[in-house]
Amino acid sequence: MGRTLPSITQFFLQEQGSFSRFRRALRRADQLVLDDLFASARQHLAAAQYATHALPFEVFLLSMLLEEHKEVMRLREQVDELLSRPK
Amino acid sequence: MTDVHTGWLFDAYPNGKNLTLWMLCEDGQRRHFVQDFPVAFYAAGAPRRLRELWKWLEAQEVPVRLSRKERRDAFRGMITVLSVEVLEPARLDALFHRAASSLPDLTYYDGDIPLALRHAAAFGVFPLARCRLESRGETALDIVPLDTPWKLDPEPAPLRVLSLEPDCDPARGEPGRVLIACEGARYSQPLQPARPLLVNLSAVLRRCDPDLVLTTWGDTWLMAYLLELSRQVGVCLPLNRDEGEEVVVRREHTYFSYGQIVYRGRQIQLRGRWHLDRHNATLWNDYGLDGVLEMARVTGQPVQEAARLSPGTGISSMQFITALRQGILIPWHKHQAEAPKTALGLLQADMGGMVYQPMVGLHRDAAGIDFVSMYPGIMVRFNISPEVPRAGMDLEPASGEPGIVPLTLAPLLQKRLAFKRALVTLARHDCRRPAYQARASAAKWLLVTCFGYLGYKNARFGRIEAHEAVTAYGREALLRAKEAAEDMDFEVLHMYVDGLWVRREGCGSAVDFEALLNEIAERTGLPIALDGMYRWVVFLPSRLDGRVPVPNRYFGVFQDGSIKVRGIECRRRDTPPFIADVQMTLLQILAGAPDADHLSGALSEAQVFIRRSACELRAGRVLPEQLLVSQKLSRELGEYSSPSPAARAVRQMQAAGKDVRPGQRVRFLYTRGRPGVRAWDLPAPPDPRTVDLPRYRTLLLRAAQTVLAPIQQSLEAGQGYPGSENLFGFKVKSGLESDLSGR
Amino acid sequence: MELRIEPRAGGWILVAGPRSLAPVMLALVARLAKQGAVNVLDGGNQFNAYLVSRAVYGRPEVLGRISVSRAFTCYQMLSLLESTPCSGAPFVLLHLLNTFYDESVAGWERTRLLRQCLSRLQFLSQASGGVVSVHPPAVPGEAATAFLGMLQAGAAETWHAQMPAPTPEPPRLF
Repeated sequence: MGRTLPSITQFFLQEQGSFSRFRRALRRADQLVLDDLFASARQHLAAAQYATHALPFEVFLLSMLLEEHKEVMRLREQVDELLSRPK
Repeated sequence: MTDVHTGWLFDAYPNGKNLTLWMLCEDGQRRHFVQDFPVAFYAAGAPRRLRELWKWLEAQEVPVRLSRKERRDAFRGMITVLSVEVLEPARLDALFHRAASSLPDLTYYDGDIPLALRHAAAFGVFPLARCRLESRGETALDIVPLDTPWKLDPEPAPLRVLSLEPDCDPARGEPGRVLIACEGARYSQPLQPARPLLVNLSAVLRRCDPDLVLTTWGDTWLMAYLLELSRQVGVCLPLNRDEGEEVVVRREHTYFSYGQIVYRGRQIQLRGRWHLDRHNATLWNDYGLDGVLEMARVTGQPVQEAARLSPGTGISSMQFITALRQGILIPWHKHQAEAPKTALGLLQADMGGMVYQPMVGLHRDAAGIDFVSMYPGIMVRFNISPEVPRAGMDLEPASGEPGIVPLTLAPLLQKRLAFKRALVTLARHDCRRPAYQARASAAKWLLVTCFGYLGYKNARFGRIEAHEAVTAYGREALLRAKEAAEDMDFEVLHMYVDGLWVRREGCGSAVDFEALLNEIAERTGLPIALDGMYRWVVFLPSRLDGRVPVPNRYFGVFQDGSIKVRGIECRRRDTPPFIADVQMTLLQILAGAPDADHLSGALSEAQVFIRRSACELRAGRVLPEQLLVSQKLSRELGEYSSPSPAARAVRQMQAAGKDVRPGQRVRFLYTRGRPGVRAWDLPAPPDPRTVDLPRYRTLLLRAAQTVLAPIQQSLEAGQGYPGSENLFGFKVKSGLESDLSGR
Repeated sequence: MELRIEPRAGGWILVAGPRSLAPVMLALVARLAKQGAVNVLDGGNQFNAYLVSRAVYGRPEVLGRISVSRAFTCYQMLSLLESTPCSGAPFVLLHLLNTFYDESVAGWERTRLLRQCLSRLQFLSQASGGVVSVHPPAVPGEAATAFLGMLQAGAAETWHAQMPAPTPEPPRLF
């Protein structure tokens, strides 16, 4: 029906696959962290597709960063809340 | 001296010389007439070649009227064509194909349009249209419609129905009797001996004179069986009312459509009567006869065709009628190639609808809002049609003449919206409801296929750029809806092509979303409606990785207690009935909780039910029929490098002499050891002791996990259940396994 | 694997190989686009713009030089060729025979259309040449062999590409 471009999910999986050698050479614990990073990028695939960026991997990296920062902000809030509690 | 008859147009088909019409007259009589109906095809191309075609046509023995005309090609504007008017309509097909083979380099138009559609376009009639027919003797002089296809509630024709049903499925057993029902009488008769059966059927046909012969397995078995019997025994069966014509038999075939194999079974059609087969009528289960008649009504296809339509044929029929009425030539082949884009342009255009990643987990008081028939609505409002040049991408209504596609869709879309409105206002037990629902479903089905058809490579009035423009508008509309929601402080839980799920603290009923709906309609220019208010809805992650959201797996309970489910086991066609039922029951147990606060009680009840179900399975108390897996054979057996379970089951069927074509389904059980499956529809019943119970137990638990794990997680994550828990990161727990293994 | 082919005015080059050849053809498109304009005619639904984009580092001025049109039926293929102007840019035609393997169109009709396509291809290749790729059908047949023969007869050069075998796993120690 005229779809020529692979879906953003398919392309994402190909990009993830292209890092398989890098992943293999990492320590096991680091492999799991890498997997987590890739999983976090999957939260924003719809936006990545809509972006129609010529190099989608850049958008995937930005998505990973977005999720990381979300986590930082959440932790910051938690820390502030803990620190502000009366002793 | 002319007569005037008023009634319903029942059927129209070619005979040797012209057209035969059947009418169900107001006085109760079924009358037939003949009508002269010359039909034309056209050719365009180099003048020298057109002259050769002219000479060739004159040399054929088919009576034609040849002339030069100026006619409109949708893409090229007014062009000069050779007009070939064939006086005997039945002869156009063969003549056209011979002409096209002899002079293939010419461009042909109106070559393969079904006769019924031409007639419908020429006179403004359609199957079961109320009309007035003027005749002289048997000859119809004129026919005038008193009706339109767009009436919600047309006056029903008093159809006489004869029902025939073998006493078992011929694909799975040997039928011994046939059940006959007509005019309130119901009885069964043995299939053997043949002569009394045929004599009786013949008498029933003459006495009842049914308009509709409604069968079960009539296309695939019964009708061919009866016809063969009639030939062998020498007793004539007046299946056709028009006994001068042969019963029409169409062979089965398999074809590719959108990358999938589709199988179309044999069809048997009558003349002067309709034969419909409940098992071979597209979507009969959803709409029944009302839906089929509606399909015939709006597409112009004769009822026997309309019942067996494949996707795309319905829409293309409607487009043909529009084109014929507008005097626009219908090309035989689609010639337009895509206009060039840059690589960047292709990156931007080649996309579908926006499919989001939902916020995984349980959400309370969510509203599902959907654009109503978004893509057709876009095509109509923004005048998207292959022959209409496109300008910008702002969501402004288009000016200028409507193209063929919007012209065709607009009345259908209006009718669908009218049904939707009417169904909301009709009382629960209004007797019109089922008919309205059936007709609305038929309209909805047609509208759903029209978008795909726009991009279809063989569609005469299809074009990839138009298809892409529609999805682009769709994405823009969805994003504006999201922005409207966020501007009004709603949280957007999920979005999917033409719908979104939103929630806001304090918004617990439909009226709280009115303002949002109005704002979205304002910003997009498209109608949008509340699909329902959920007490709670769960969006599930990927089965393989709990961190990854997937767009199409969710379940939820509406405020009225009804359940909506997508993508999980009970919605999949290959899930065994036992497991689907268990999962559905679990959902019903959860739906029994009055709201999300009381889910823990429901969860305990659900866990008890699961343990009981697993016990039943282990004790062998589940009937094998309930454990059947039903899968489609996706390719020829030879093409499998390692055979799927379905393929292995089909091999067993073939060994027993039963053929299964790619595109058809095969039913089987999982069995212990090799080959691991046992086809169901074999002559000997399977041994229940060979069933692979542990495997089914795994499937059962997995189906239970799908539904219960998110509820469990939600209860454990929150105290006092905050409004939305984003459970991104939850792992699918195996609490159930440890629960059960302890027994 | 890299296709070290240069389109040359006066004729077109045929590259025949398995479907796994497709990314190699896209790499060729990318390479040509770095040098100048390219006309891509896609008969096999193969133009993965993501791959091409990556090969040119996403540079918009390069991507803007690649013109793409797709054909989904053999009639459209001919139409596409007939509506493509003869310009200074070489063409890359992806999987010319894909739409000709469709058996719902009569064999003689496909042959006729293919003949016309080849004649148009010859015309288009006068200015800057071009490259045409072709892959075998899923189910081999006589028609496909005949069509390939027609293509070979019309091509200035024919290359048969064999995809290299995947790199073997290093030998295990135990």
